[in-house]
Amino acid sequence: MGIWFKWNMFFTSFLPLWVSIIISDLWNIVVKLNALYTSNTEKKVITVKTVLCTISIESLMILILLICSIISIHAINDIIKTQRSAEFHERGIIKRAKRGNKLTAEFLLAYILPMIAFDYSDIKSILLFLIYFVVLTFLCIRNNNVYTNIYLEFMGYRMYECDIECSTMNGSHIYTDSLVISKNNLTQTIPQEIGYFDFDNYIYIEI
Amino acid sequence: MSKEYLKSLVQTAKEQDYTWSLYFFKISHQKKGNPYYVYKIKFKNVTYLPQYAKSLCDFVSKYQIDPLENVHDYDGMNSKTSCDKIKVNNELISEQWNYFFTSVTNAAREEVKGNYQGYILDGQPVHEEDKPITFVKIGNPIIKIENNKSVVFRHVENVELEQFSDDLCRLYLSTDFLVIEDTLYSFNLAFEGIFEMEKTMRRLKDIAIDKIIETNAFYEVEKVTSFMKSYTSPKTFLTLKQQRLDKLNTLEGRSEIANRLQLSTKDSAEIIIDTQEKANQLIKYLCYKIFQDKETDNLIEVNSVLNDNVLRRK
Repeated sequence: MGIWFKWNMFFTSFLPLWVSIIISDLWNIVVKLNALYTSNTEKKVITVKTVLCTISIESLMILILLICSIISIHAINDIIKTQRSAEFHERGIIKRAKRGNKLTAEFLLAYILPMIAFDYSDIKSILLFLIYFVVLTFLCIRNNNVYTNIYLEFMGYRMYECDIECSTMNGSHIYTDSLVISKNNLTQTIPQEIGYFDFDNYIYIEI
Repeated sequence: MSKEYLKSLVQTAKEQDYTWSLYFFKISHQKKGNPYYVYKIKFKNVTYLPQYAKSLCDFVSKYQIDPLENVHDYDGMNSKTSCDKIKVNNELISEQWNYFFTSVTNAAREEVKGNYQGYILDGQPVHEEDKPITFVKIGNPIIKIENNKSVVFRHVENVELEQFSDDLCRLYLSTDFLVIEDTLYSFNLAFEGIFEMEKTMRRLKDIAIDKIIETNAFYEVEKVTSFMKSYTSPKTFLTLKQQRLDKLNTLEGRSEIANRLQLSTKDSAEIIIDTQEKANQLIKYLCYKIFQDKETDNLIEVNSVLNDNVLRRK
């Protein structure tokens, strides 16, 4: 579940980029179709094949992004719902909490850069973006970098940098500078016990 | 701590509210430093693990604790009808336990490659008044179905067979040892292997030999030291008691020991140990591994006494 959940978190954190690309591609489709009809001065019959060939790259991009986004959103919802259904959750005590503001800046940098740097109607640009995205995915999943997740933000979750004390075996351990994603204001009461599910020793979602 | 107390703790874990975590572990004692690699497992269905934990508590209580005669301190011998207890901060296991604990707290979430040596089921109480409990089972829980000797199929719809090559995971309804608070309760001696106690015991053997030699009770000390170092079972030294060392420190005590073990003495009652056999016998006596039969005055080894127990015969 760990890598699958991290991938979904990573993919959905780029939702604004995917929405921007879809809008940009839709725009291109409209422009290309318009050009196709206006250039058809001899009133020839425009076949479906011709239309599809003209907008194939954009259509494919939109389709792939929509399918991946739906799968990722569904998977996140499914995992959170499954974890919530547990009778008892693992518990930890928040010893220090701070709003994770700097994560937002990292996130903006990560998604604005590809938006302005690549042309998503051009195969060469798409290939270059794929290389950039695959490398970024590999590094982020391997090193547990979680950006502000716009989908979770819409769901009411916020990110906190916390020190959390968790009991393990016959003792306890404080995980410092952990990322806790919670719907509650964790800075309000410290120390505070929370129920969570974790997909890494330093990343927790409050249940 | 009695058997009843141990049973009540396991029953509490079954009946009360606990959160359970499962870890697989791999050990590589060849490497210096922490030899434990731990991997935290997540289940697709969150009810599987609590269900398994409750069944495990039930089976451990019924089939492992109920048949016990008693719970006593670890002495290197497990009679199968007793449960050994040892503090996790005991010098025999404290270093390895700390490594083990650290590995669990920093457990990886990505699969650790290679064969696992066992698994840990950690139960944390929801209510403060209950105690955390950790079950450890030695043995690879992953079963590889595919091998060179056979091909495995599974039944699917319409009584058709489909090739099956996925690995399976088997969790047993028994445990090798469990840890409650700072005490480890062991039903066998499997924990000695995972905590690499052989090495620690060799170190303790050297310390014990130094203590015996320091009593200045021997003639030709170097010879005696060499015989003692050649003694093959370091575990025997676990039961070396100060009471017997004190006896070696006095002239009367030495004479009594020499008499009992039929050893010769020199001036100022220095005991002469000139064969390996005599050294072995002295070690066993100092470590309470041989006793004198009051009826026959013969020296009997503890193992022989246990094996000769008529109540055990069928």
